Amino acid sequence: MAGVNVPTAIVDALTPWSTTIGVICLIGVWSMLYKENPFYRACEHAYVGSAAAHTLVTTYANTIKPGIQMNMAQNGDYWEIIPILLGCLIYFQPIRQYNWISRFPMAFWVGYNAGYSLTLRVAMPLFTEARRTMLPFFVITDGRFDLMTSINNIVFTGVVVLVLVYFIFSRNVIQGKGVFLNRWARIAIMICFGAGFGNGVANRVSLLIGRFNYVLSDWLKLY
Amino acid sequence: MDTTALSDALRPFLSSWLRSDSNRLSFTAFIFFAFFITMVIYYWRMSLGEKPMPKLRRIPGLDALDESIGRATEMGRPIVFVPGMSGFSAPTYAALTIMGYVADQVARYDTRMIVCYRYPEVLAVGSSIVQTSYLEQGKRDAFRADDHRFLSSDQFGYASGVCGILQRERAASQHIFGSMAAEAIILAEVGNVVGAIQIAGQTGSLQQPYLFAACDYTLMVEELYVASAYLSQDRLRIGMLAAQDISKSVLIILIVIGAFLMTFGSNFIDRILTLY
Repeated sequence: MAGVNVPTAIVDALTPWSTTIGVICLIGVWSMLYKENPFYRACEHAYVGSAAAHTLVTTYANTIKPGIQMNMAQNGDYWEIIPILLGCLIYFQPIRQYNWISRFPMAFWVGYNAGYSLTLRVAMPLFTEARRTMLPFFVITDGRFDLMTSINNIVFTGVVVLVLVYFIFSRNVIQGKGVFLNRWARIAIMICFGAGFGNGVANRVSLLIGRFNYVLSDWLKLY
Repeated sequence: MDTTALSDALRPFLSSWLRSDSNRLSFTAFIFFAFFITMVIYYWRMSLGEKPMPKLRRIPGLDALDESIGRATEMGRPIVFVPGMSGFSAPTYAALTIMGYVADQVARYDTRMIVCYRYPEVLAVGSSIVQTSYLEQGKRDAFRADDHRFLSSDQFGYASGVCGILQRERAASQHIFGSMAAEAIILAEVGNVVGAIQIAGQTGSLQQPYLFAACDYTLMVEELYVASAYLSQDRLRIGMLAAQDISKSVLIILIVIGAFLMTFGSNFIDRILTLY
């Protein structure tokens, strides 16, 4: 996207104001922790509106403008007019009498995505993962039995197999002992999610510290 | 067994059409894919006949959909539906399938459903699905286009908008399906604050723990894709699912045998999987 050169003096003069607006919005959003209120609502609508405007501008500048200026006008790729026209048909959606026309680009889009997903290529990551799961249960390192790596490999392969068994849904494929395995699979999945939850909480606390840093350092200049 | 000679013999014949720009495709991947397609055709033919189809195991999250719709109907408050954060992708298709089922129910019971979209193309398809449900119930005029809202393509702008709607509309239920990212916990927590019954299902494993913590019912990863077969009990769809299960079983057997062979120093299965 082509940038606009703003003089440094203006940027420096505006920075404290933009930081103050940022802090006001931060407090507005946090005010919802108490309850929904007009202050939060104003911040929410300002954010949603500015995000929509940003999307519009970046889509025009990064996709539409280069497509017309560069690809079509300079490089002569006039075929790009086809997806543009197809995309324009979507604007028939709000017109009740003609909104059936908007289904053509939608059908094309959905069909393209479905076809793209169902290719032979999807099998390769599957096999790569399967190969990485086939680990020896007894590992010898430097001529000695490596207990920890062996346990690690057994747990890893065992949990992968258990989880795969859990995601078999047909009762004629998984029954009897399979139901018992399902219970263990759920326990394994829950342990994994527990670890993920702890990791995620740590990340969120890090974000919170970042916000406090913004208020105390960037705005109040306390340190 | 030395698979190198076989691999060398196959290469000239297969290299021209088993290649893609992004990665090399193995011959075994092609065989596995062909096996999967064969199973799909087998179950497709089975679904056309009278033979009983495989039964699916219970998925509580999907059973709870009716409960959440009933609650919203009794309370006279809306359901908020979030069809994921991605454009057209497999999780979004799965979410739209579930939305179709929910739309049938809300059209039947005259319950209000607000759907929040991140992408305009998903809005176009989603609103058409719901409109069709109202048409099928003979309630064309009851469809409210205003309840299908494009909020923002920005991740947290969207999350912020959904949170505001949950609070202002005092949603009785929230359904979060599809592909989710960091905003999952924000939506689920606000839903929790307003006292909505929440059912969530998404395909990634990163956000799953938060949904478990904050939602009443959660569909785990692939359970989301089972929804269409489970909810409709359609013979063809159940057949497709059974074909997947058979393929998964084959993969499990390969992994177990491969791991045991690796333990005894043989990488036979590994070489078979990379045969090219």
